[in-house]
Amino acid sequence: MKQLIWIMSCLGWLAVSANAQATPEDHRLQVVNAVQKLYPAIKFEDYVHGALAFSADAKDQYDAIMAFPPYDSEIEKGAKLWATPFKNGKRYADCFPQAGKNVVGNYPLFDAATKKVVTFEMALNQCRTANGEAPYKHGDMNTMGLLTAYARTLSDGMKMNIKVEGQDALAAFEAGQRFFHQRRGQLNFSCAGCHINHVGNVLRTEYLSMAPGQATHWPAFRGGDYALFTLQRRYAACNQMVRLAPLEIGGEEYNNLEYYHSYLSNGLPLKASVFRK
Amino acid sequence: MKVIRNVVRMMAGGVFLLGITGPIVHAAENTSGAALTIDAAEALSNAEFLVGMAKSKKSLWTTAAGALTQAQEAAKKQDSEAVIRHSAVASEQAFLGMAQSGYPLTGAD
Repeated sequence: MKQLIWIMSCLGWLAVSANAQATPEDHRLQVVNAVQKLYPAIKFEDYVHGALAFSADAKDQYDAIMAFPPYDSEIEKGAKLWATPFKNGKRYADCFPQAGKNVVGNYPLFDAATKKVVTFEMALNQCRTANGEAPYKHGDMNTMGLLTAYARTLSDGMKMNIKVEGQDALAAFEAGQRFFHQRRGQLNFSCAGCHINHVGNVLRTEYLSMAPGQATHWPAFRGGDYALFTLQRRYAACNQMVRLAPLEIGGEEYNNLEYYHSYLSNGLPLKASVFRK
Repeated sequence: MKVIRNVVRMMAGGVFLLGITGPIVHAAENTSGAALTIDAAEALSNAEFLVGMAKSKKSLWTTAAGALTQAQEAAKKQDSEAVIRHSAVASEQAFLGMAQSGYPLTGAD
């Protein structure tokens, strides 16, 4: 009996230590596997379509809209913002490698010097302030929203490539992970509850999309009026829907959440400024 | 002995004065600036405190924020009964929002 207790105890400690050593990649695979177990027929690369993967009709509608996106003029406004030189003559393209092409898949990244997550929007603002311009408000869709609506398209096709290196980066990742898995708002929902545990179920009239792939297609033009939504604006709207007072767009909580959330999409191709219901 | 007796008298007087003026000051401090019953002013003050705390902990429910707004609107109309009713909802919902952060995590964690 004593031996049995000793063996069970050892097994328990082994399980605890294995869990404690779970890396972000282990966790990502665990989430992807959970979705694949529920929907083995949906290919991993199709996760970028989110809820559209569950409805051929909705996907056809999406394809029809994307053939001639009615919001093209908005992206052109963003292109104009991107191309307009700062007062000192420099441009956004001067702030990024490859003139800003194929860089977005690396964002959010973790800045070891400041010990903070840096989103692409923050990098754009750093570019502005480094060149003597005032930063844009992260939640302002007429400036930051439009700018990213174009700038992110320069990385279309690039695969998401978020890195979590070092203890501080891991702490930020885990803070985002906690946010994603924590119940919030009066409706007592968590992001994970809908987008991992109940993927593919219909909530009101909409299919619940899978967490991997969700971070690949922002900003999006949503609904009948094609309102522009950045990923963090979507977080705020989602929080509002579960009756949590939305947090600050561009604030640390949403930045950490975006870091974790984007990591789940590692290996999937980006496609910015798409249509979503 | 006489000194002790004087101190006790002064303290008793102070407590009596606070008893009278405290609620008046309290009522005057509510966001409306209008006269409310002591209970209503206290309920509103409590709700404002709890909602502020829930907000600082990033766990404020919209229902708590909404109820507080209604309580503050009622205070402007000097409707003490409505202030108490809405403040109670705001306080309860703010408290529940903060308690929620202690719930177990969901999903593949």
